[in-house]
Amino acid sequence: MKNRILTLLLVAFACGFATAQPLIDREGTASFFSEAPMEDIEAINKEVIGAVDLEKGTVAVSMFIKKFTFDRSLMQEHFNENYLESEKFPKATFKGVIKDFTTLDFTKGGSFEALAEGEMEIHGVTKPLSSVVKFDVTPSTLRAETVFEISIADHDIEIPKLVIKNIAEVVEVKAAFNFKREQR
Amino acid sequence: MKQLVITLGFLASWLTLAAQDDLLASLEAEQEDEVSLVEATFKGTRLINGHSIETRKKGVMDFMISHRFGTIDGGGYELFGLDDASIRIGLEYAITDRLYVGVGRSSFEKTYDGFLKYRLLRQSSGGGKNMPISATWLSSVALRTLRNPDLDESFKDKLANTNQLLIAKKFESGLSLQLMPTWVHRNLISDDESNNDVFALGVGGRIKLSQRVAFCGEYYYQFQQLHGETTNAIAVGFDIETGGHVFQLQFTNATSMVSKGFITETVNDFFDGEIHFGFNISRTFQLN
Repeated sequence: MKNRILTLLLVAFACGFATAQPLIDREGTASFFSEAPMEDIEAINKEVIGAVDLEKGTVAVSMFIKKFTFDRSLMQEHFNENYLESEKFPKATFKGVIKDFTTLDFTKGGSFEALAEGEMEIHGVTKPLSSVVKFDVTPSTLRAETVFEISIADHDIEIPKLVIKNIAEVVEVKAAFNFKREQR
Repeated sequence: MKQLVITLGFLASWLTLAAQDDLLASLEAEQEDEVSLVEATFKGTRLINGHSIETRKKGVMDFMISHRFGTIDGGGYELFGLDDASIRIGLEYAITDRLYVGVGRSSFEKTYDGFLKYRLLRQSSGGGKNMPISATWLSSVALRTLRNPDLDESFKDKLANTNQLLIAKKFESGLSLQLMPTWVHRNLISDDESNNDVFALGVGGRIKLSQRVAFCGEYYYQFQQLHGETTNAIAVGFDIETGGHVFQLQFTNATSMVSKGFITETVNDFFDGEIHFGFNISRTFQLN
């Protein structure tokens, strides 16, 4: 009997918190592309973890630099070893808020765009970043997509003079997340 | 009771998420247990003369040209050895991320060689499964085809093989060290040679001077000698990396560029100026 009351209490307690639970996608993608005279540089990370809290309007993204895969493995090694120094700085992260969140309706199906504003940390350097995010909403899913540019110099990523012509100074980054929503 | 446990479990996870105002902190907490392999202990598949624990990634072909000039004690007349050069051309391929094979031809004693490398252990951290070292097995065989009119040698007689266990640790991004227990076996030795089998222990390492330049050193101590004249191979050099190329510039007393040669046939005295300047250039191609 005691146990049953306890369970009941706990369930009631949990329900109160359940609405505050953020949506999490552990298989988000982040990719970048930079066109350069010698060869285009392209990589994708399919194990990006992203979260959006639809109560507070906050978003967060975290990824391991080592999980970016390149077509050319030597490029991948150089990316980790020489440019992003992934042993020293293993992750890239973003935390921010959705601007004018209270005016947006995430309960109704449809597509709309919103501005995410926050801080991006890459290579141990944190810089402000705001990017337009496109949301596709259905009753059971929420898809978020965004494209933004990162300046290599802003994040103290050094490129030697010898190869500077081979690497663009601004890199276009795309990210996408598919969140599953709880059915209520 | 089981239900209660499950309920409590769910609750606990909800509570921790809800309690953390910082959404990012909760995401990062999830990621802590990842196993991460240590990459790029050395820049190339060679430390200097000998192999490093490194292999190329699956599907990568490596075309390698190595040169050793004459010894620098030849002075200005020989332009410090540059008048004289021996070359090795090699082609190598990574069948898997662990298995690496290669063939080569050296002008020195007209030697063909082939090798197989297999990564046994890979240094890693995180995920509660720390592997402190990397280890790679190397088996190589060399066939000397320089004609010897005094000897009637069979194919088997011309062969020598080398087995090495390469053990390395990347202590930090700028410092890697390697140990190389080695066994060299010859099928046939001449009258003035005394050991078919030579055991040796190599030590080597690299210190990164910048993101693209590293200083390397390598030394092989022999426990037996092929004949009385042999010396231990010493090499120092720089690795310079530019995109798809790795240049290795070195100073060494060894003339041969295949394992059985530089480990057991070196006769030059490094400290008496009998040093070859040389380089390795490696160019990689991603085949698939």
